[in-house]
Amino acid sequence: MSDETRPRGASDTSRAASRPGATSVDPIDILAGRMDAAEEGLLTCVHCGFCLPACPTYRELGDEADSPRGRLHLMRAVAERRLDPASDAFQTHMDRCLGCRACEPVCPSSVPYGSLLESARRVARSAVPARKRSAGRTVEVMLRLFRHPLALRVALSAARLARALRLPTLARRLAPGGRVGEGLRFGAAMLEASGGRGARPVAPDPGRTSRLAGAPVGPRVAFLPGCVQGSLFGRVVDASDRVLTRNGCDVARMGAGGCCGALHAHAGDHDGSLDLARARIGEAERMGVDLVVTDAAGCGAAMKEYGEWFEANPAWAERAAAFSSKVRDVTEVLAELGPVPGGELRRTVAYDPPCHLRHAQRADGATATVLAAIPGLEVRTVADPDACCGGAGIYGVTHPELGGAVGDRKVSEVRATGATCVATGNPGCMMQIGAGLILVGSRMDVVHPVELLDESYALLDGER
Amino acid sequence: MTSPAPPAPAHRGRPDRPSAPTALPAGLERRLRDIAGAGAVVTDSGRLLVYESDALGRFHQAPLAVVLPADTQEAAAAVRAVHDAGLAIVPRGAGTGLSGGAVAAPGTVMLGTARMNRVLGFDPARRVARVQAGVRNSQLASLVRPRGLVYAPDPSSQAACTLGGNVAENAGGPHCLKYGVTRRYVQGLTMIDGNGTVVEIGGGSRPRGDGLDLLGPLVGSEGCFGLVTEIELGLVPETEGVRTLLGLFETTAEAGEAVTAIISDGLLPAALEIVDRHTITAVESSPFRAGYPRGVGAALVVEFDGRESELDADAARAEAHCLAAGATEVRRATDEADRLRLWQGRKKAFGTMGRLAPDLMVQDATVPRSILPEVLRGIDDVAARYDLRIANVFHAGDGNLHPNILYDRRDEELTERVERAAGEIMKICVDAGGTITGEHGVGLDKREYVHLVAGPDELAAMAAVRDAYDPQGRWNPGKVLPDDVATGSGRGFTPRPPVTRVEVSAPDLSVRAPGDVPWGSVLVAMAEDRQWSPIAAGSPELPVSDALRLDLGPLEAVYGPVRESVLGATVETPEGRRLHLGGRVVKNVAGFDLLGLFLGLGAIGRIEEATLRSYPMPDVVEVLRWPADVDGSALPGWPHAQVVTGETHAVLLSGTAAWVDHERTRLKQARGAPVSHDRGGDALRDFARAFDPVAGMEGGVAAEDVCVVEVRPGAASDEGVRFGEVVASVAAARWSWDPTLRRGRVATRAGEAGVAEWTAVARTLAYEGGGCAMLPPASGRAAPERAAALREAIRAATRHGHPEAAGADRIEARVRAAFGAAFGVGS
Ligand SMILES: Cc1cc2nc3c(=O)[nH]c(=O)nc-3n(C[C@H](O)[C@H](O)[C@H](O)COP(=O)(O)OP(=O)(O)OC[C@H]3O[C@@H](n4cnc5c(N)ncnc54)[C@H](O)[C@@H]3O)c2cc1C
Ligand code: SF4
Ligand code: SF4
Repeated sequence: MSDETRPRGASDTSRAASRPGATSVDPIDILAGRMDAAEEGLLTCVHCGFCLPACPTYRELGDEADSPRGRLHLMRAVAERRLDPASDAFQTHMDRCLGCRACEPVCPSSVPYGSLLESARRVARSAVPARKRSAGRTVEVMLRLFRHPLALRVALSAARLARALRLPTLARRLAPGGRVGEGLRFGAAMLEASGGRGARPVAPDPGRTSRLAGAPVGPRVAFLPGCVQGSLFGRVVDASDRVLTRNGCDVARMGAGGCCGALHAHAGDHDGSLDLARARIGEAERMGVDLVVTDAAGCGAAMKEYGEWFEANPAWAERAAAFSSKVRDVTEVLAELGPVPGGELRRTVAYDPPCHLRHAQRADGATATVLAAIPGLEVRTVADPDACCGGAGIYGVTHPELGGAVGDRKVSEVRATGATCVATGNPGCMMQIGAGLILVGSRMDVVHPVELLDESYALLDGER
Repeated sequence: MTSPAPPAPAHRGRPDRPSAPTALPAGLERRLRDIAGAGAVVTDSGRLLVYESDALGRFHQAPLAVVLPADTQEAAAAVRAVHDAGLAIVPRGAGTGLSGGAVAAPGTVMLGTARMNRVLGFDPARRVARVQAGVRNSQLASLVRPRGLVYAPDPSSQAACTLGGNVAENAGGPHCLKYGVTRRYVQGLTMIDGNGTVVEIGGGSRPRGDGLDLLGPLVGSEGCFGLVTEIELGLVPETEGVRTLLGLFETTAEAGEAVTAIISDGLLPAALEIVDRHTITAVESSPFRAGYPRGVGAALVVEFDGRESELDADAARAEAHCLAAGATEVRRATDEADRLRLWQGRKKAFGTMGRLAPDLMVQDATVPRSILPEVLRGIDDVAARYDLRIANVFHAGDGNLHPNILYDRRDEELTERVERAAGEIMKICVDAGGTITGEHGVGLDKREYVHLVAGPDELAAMAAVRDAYDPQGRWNPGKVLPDDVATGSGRGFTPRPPVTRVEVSAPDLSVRAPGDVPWGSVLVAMAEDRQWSPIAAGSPELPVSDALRLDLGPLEAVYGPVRESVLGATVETPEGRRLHLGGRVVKNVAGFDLLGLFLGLGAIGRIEEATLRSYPMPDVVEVLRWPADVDGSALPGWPHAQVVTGETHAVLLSGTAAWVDHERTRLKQARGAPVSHDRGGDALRDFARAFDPVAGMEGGVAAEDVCVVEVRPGAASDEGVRFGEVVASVAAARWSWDPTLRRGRVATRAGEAGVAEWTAVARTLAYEGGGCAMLPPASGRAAPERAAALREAIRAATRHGHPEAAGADRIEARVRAAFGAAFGVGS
């Protein structure tokens, strides 16, 4: 490669610049810089193709441009300035990635796909004006919303109200045909799904969230309800709270509506993600806790990466790393503590691990420990657990056809288990799978694994 | 980029090739979209970039367009459209190839099989599956495993690579030491020729004996002969158990010596794999850690599979050999998880090398395994002289080396050094009696090195056969053969001096013999070194050349067809031209494989000398016989060679005494007491003779007067019953049936069986997916008129039920003619 195409010798600075913590560089230099960093860059991809069969979009479409290797190749072409980041090819294929990271664990060369994708999306996003972005206005509006807690709260309350009024059901039935209609129909079904019965339809009982007498003394925990989880899945948040308390944690909730920045990072909104991360770090520091816990796998995955986000920013690097080292998924905390067994719960449940727990955090083993604490529960694994459900945030709304096709596979695997409910630990997945089930007319419930444990405790206490 | 410029557009020196266009001809995109759907056609220059290279990453060239058809029909239509536009086509599977085979030549259209990923049929009883070419290797493996079956070829890339790509490269894998490479398992396939015509090859349409082996050359043809769209693959039963050992050594040469010792001792592990120091470092620092300790210079993985009762003894012997060769430690995998982790590390070794350097020069040379230690030392020496890091990971049991040179292609001086070193390594291997590529293929990468293993006559013959399959030069131009086929002066190629006597090489599991010595004398020479061969010639007096032509394959169920036993040969074509084909290594994909054309009853020429694969002599050979019962069902378990005749159902057991005891007990439980039970060479001879229906015919008929027809019932029929009906309806004088491979032979006197009866039989069989064919007279002389008429009738009726086999007949005619044309006779 010649000097015009890649700044040689500049690799260190550009590598530093590749970290979201630094400011104002040509975003392409970010990718170019990451080509050089042998340990983690684009060059570690040896083009072996092992990741192809793991990728849901490749499996669905068969086009290598929609495969991990293909996307990395496009990134490399942009970094080498052989491809315009505003080109349809780059925009479309970066956008179409689910971000599920199923390609990471199978990669023999340990290419850090997830973080490369974030850099690539940043390049893609800055290459075209907002109105021309292929994912369109939906994403932009959502991102702006999620940046402002107040606006977000209003929007999500509106969604909750709409859900209560059964508007989604109506919208789903009335939605027009075509691509837009498909997206609308799916979005409505997702909202409807978030209102599922859950495992235990009890109102939150603030009185019970204090430490139970005689319970073991566990860690002090800052609990992040997450924006979507907190608003649309309040019942899950409450269940997590009760279950953690029951197991000896001292639980304090982080501010409502506080977003972790994951959605922004995934979409390439670099500044947005960093602002939110700084806010969360500050908040946790003020609370002075041992652990930062969430029950949304997507949030957990992002917060565990804050350390990397700020690696090159001296002012924040240490604080971010300290924060990330404290982050746990709720099931991880429970598994570490060795969950207190609950009452007998005679049910069959299909377990499907969220990608952000399995591939990004590589921590889905903890869920089995949690479910094993429930006597009588029969757990059936969903076939092909590595495969994404197609949820990927709001993918089902922005890419109704592809998201639908990916989701259809998951929904039929879930139904094939013959279980009465399905458990998964991420709000996006709960909505995605739930929406898919609604659209095929299934009556299966979608729950978070902690809800089952919570119900089992309730049975033990003879509440029902 | 500093990657070498893609080679000049390949004209193959043929005037009918259009010159490379730079844009997609008007209307073609539209037509392709109509055929395959809009999402299945890529023409955008940005998206096309992702198709510019394969896993080798050394060559870059984007095609004009990519089309991704979903099935044979769509693929055929797409090929016709591209053909009409005058362009050539590059097939692509998963793009995991390591020789640049799936990289486009300028101005070509790529046809990807990613959407052709359905398994079309799986018949556990017949141990066969039919798949679309884009089905992944591990997809098939995991489909058949729950039924106790295995798809044996297991390339390290099996999770990603397609079976079509495996067929095109004749892929091997760690377990191919015992089970053979892809070719052995391809029973039939559907391909598309340059005109877009669908052609059926092998399977029921061309039972053995009916003409040339057209499958042989097609497997390993690297997409240059046509697009494979569907494949019928044989499966083998899972074995009872496995034992996996890990020997740790200070040097790779020591590990290589352990390999030689293990093989020389008559052990045949399922796999023998070595990883060297650099590779260990890479694997251990990746998430795929295999538990190799740091600091060791080489690790040898030894795996045995088979009967539980024998495995521990085999493992103990192998362990002793490792220690004797200098192993510092030998570990045994304690459980399945341990074993898988060990393999995982080996299988992901190549990928983890990405952590060592940005680029890899991937090597794939194969050498006779007895000289492995010397060759390894030679490679170390090259590494030192050129100051390079070479990470070696290889299929040691097959002598197949992957000394991968680590480098950074942005450093031009380094790249140049790497290329010289790579050439030198190949030269070392070829000089040692090896070849330039064992499983990755020639592709673009090693074209110039083909000169090391083939002279001008061999290259001309390869080009002629390629042109017979692809007369218009439509398929994957510019691959495999060097540009200067016609003018090349045989640079570097020195044929081995002819042999005058039988030479046995036990550590290499091979034997070399002149074509005119009696087959029996070869067996005697092999026996002295405790080796044997499964080829059963009928009579020990027959010369080797006839034995290779006439073998009826009584042991085929266990050892594969005769082609599997031939590593190399010097042949004489009808025009008197001498060709040196293959070599003396077990894996060889350097250039197109013509050996099959010179074997079996349809052989084109005469074998002057051959290098054959030998096997460790079994301790015990036993034949058990029960009353005949053609119910078509083979005995369960590992496919023993079996034959059912009018009199008995005979089963051959061979192996160690303990194993034969075990199997005898099992069979007695399943079938009751046998009526007879013989041991030794005579029993084996009688068993083999039972396969030849002519051998036992009463009344001393002249050979020319007997018609032998090979019958293969199709998947749609109840085979045993159907074969019984055939025997009854054609007034068979004698017959034999192989219940493992599910095919039979029927002998009738030419005067007794009517054309009408055979026509009816042939049509019914073909209708059900099977077929039949009359074997050429064993004497090699022309058949009498009556027999010739019968042959034609059977052939016509069989072809009638397989209309798509017409293309194969055309190819066969062109192959035969091409030899005349290529060598100036009859053209
Ligand atoms: C990490 C790694 C490990 C590997 N290990 C092994 C190993 O152990 N053993 C081994 O043998 N190989 C190995 N390979 C090489 C490679 O995986 C094999 O050659 C494989 O068979 C290629 O399959 P593919 O589907 O990727 O084909 P591609 O790379 O897409 O194509 C390979 C060639 O086949 C042709 N082709 C593909 N499909 C068809 C078709 N349907 N019809 C006609 N031609 C076709 C192409 O034109 C090309 O010439 C390895 C590769 C990698 C990256
Ligand atoms: S598996 Fe890893 S190294 Fe291989 S192509 Fe995919 S990203 Fe690249
Ligand atoms: S993150 Fe998921 S969708 Fe994206 S490339 Fe990887 S496997 Fe494919």
